[in-house]
Amino acid sequence: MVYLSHLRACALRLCVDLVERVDKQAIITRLLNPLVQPGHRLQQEANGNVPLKQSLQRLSITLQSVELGLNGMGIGLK
Amino acid sequence: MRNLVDSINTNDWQKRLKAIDQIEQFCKAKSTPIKNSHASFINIIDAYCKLLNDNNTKVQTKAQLSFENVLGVADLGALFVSNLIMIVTALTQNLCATNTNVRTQGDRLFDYLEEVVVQESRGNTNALLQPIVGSLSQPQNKIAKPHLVDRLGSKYHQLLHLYLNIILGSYKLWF
Repeated sequence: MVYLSHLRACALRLCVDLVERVDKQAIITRLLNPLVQPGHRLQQEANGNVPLKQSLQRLSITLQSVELGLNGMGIGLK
Repeated sequence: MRNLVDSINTNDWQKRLKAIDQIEQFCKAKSTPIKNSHASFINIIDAYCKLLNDNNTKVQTKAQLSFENVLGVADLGALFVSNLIMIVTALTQNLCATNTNVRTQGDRLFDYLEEVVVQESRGNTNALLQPIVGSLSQPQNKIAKPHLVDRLGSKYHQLLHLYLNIILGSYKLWF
């Protein structure tokens, strides 16, 4: 009985953590996704700035891999 | 306080160096009154922002080291988090500096600021995102922009790791 209640408390804690993480991730996505869109001013600026272009490409890859990872785990944000 | 802030406006760089020491000592000795007076804190941050972008490299380097020490004052942590836009703007200009030491130290200060934000926000670095994205939209920060974008990417990566740890934790718990 004690074991079950402990298990339930752990599960609840995990759910809360998951919700918090998804929430934080959604905030980050909302802020960062526009930066890697082709129409963004930063992308146009990157045409004459090679280090910026490379860092934007790295950011884009990170964003894509995170989204793919989350969807793969069955936790879609949309 | 007013004398301290006025002393940074002098043309003599040695007096400005001395003023940095005095401001740092003031912050350490009077952290509780500063904590209770938001206006004083803003004056101090204004002074530091000015000194961090001083045209004299010695003053700039000294201001960076001093600012690192002030960031470590526990009482002022919450105030730093509530004035991130000013601080990030000043540090971004450091990342654009032509002097390599100033640039490197500026990057380190960003790391340190991130630690303070994490401590004050219980593991959350989202408070830093908005000021960094804001700095990216300013046209004058050309050299700093790649660093800032990489910083945003690494933050996202850290979050993914935390996320995966939770998933793995739940998996271990159930199976």
